[in-house]
Amino acid sequence: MDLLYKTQTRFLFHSHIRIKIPAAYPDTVFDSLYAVLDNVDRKYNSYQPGSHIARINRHAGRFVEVDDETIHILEQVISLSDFFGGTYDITIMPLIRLWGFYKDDIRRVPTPYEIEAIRHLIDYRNIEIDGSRVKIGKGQEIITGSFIKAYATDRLAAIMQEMGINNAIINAGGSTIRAINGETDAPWQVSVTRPEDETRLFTLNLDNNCYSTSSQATTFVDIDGRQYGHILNPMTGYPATNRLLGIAMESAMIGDIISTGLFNETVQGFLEKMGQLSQHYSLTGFMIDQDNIITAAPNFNNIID
Amino acid sequence: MATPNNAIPEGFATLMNNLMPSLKKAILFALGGLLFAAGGQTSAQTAKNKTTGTSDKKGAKKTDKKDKKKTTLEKKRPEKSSGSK
Repeated sequence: MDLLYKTQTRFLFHSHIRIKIPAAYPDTVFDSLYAVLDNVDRKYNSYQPGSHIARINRHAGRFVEVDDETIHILEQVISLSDFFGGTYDITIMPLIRLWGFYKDDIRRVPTPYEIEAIRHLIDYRNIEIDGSRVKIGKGQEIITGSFIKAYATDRLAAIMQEMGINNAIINAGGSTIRAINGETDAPWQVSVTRPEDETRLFTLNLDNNCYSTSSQATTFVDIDGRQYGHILNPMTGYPATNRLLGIAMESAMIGDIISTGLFNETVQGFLEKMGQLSQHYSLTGFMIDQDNIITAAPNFNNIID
Repeated sequence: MATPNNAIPEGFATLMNNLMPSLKKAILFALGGLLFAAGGQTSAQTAKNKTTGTSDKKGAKKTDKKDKKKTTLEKKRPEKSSGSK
């Protein structure tokens, strides 16, 4: 007989976060689980005015004392940014503001002059870490949107496993989906659809790992019949042209960063970087380019039906 | 002579006759102002839409941001992947 599960959905990180656990657990467990996410949201989300990252942003140009976890998060992000060589950059916030992809701002295509005028502000190499203090350049601003929800998901998955919840799934806004399986449990499945019409593309089998996806189809500005997606290339100042990218690996945070970083790559760049990353992580993935051509890493077939 | 109950007192009629032109002007001015404000607002909205011409799919979800603390029971089934960070 199929097991029954309990689910709850709450709104955090500007997303609907759905947690599904075995039905035997009392409803009150959900409060403890969402509290883990809420804690990360309050402390490390750049959109939360009281977070460590928001304080770093407010005091741009000066060192700010932060906690160990902030340092740990930033060090991980900087290390991956080095790998991408500028196509992934968490100091991209001034560019996001310029395009209006921030909260309910009016979206528009900026002029080349406007883009050029702020380009110098987008450089993660100006993030200075000195012990427990962090400083960014004057006028710079960090945005955690590309990874903070996934970081919280990793924290929650670890705590759930410590609590003995070893058969569950966390669906964070549909773009970060972390499966937890016991040794005898069947894999969790994730349905991936085409960005243009949401018809079925394939079904992924997740076994104690996470599916991270980036897409230009859900958030964009449509001007004079042309769509400009919200994933911006820090090197050019303009939106990336690929349509969808998915990564499956154990760490939600690293998967989310990789799916964003690779979004600015060509097909060849995607395959090369996936090859390099596979020397450090157990991962697979695919991308759909602007011509709707699907390119997958060689081991991608292992996780699809 | 006594003034009939339904007659307008002479002093009041004189006062109204004197005030009417000013009152009419004030009412017309106020109406004009209201029409101008309403027209201005419409123009501003139209201009805003024309300038941006935006289509914001994310905006469509704005009405449903409240927590749903309701617990539901379900079987294991494929999760839907959608959206983006």
